[in-house]
Amino acid sequence: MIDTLNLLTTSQMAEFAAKGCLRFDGLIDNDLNQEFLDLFAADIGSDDRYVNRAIPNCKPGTYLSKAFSQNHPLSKILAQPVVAGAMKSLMGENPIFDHHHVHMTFPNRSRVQTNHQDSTIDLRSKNFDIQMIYFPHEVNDKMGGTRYIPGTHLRTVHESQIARYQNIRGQIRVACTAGTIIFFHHGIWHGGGKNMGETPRIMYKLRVQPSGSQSLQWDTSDLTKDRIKSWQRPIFHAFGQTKEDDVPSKLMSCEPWFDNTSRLEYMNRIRFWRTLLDNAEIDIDYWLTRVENEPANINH
Amino acid sequence: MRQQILFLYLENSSLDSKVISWGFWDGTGKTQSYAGDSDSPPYETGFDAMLDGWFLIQASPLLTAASGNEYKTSFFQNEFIFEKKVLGND
Repeated sequence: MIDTLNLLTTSQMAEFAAKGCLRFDGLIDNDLNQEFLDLFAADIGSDDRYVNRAIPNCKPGTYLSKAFSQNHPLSKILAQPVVAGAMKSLMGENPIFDHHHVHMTFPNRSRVQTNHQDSTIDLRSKNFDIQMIYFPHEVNDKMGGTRYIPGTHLRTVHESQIARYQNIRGQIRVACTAGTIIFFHHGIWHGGGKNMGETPRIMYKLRVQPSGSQSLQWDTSDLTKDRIKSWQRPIFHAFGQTKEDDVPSKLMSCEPWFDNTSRLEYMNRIRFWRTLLDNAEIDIDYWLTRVENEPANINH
Repeated sequence: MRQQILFLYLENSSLDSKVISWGFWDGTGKTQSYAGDSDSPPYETGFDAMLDGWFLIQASPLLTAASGNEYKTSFFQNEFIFEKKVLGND
């Protein structure tokens, strides 16, 4: 049962639109982390299949709210106010369970996952999935926590075709406190790392689909027409912003891996932002307005 | 002789632009590389690799995007493949 929702802010949504991820370190408390870990016996073996028999066998396409029994630790995690709020903000009403999986990575026996995009080519423009990844115990920098590359979520590649990219500037390898949760856009490039620690590493992944609109589902109380208009900043301006608004700055932030296509990334982020705000007129720094300005088409 | 192959992805089509991604395979088997093994590129630019003795064997062509795909982003466009021939164990 979800009692409280801590909805995301407009600024957090802008960060998600730009980076394709939102991270909450140490979000789940230790008691609930332990309750989740207790699902897995200490002698569970080295095969992923045994590990995944310990979580519910849920049918894809069912409402997430019906996927797990009320007292299951996964239900409690999803009811945590920040988790529930992020889920509502990103997915809208009644999100759908797609699949879930526990990745248990054993020391010195694990293979390294190459960089990849999950599932397959996904050309949706009005909706997107999220993947919630949950680390129920502390992950130190030797344990090969999930590697991900912020800002890659809007690029269209197919699964492991990017495996040749062994390393990418700006890549992040998760090292975190117990109870950390990251929400990924389905397109983000990522891969599991090599566990060179001394204990097995557990990561739980849950993929969720929308059942309706994903526009304006967060706390939009700070969104005004004047604020939206102010996002059209004069590009290459030499004057400081008198009133700092971090939304356009987040949407126009540069990633260390950006190449000559960076301006296309900005434009694609703005298109994503338009979808999230359900407003085809919104622009940042005039990027889309410029190439959409074709008055001759209207006059003739 | 054995081959070592270095993939460098650069910021633009010029060899002296910044490395944004990289991969390395050692045909001698003496070193192993894998995804996520380093956060720092082996060279700052493609030209720096040449200065260190790497031979360029392929550069990605400059292609106009297909109609309708002009704003789509996907793979890194500026791929440069380098090789070194080194003595193996035989």
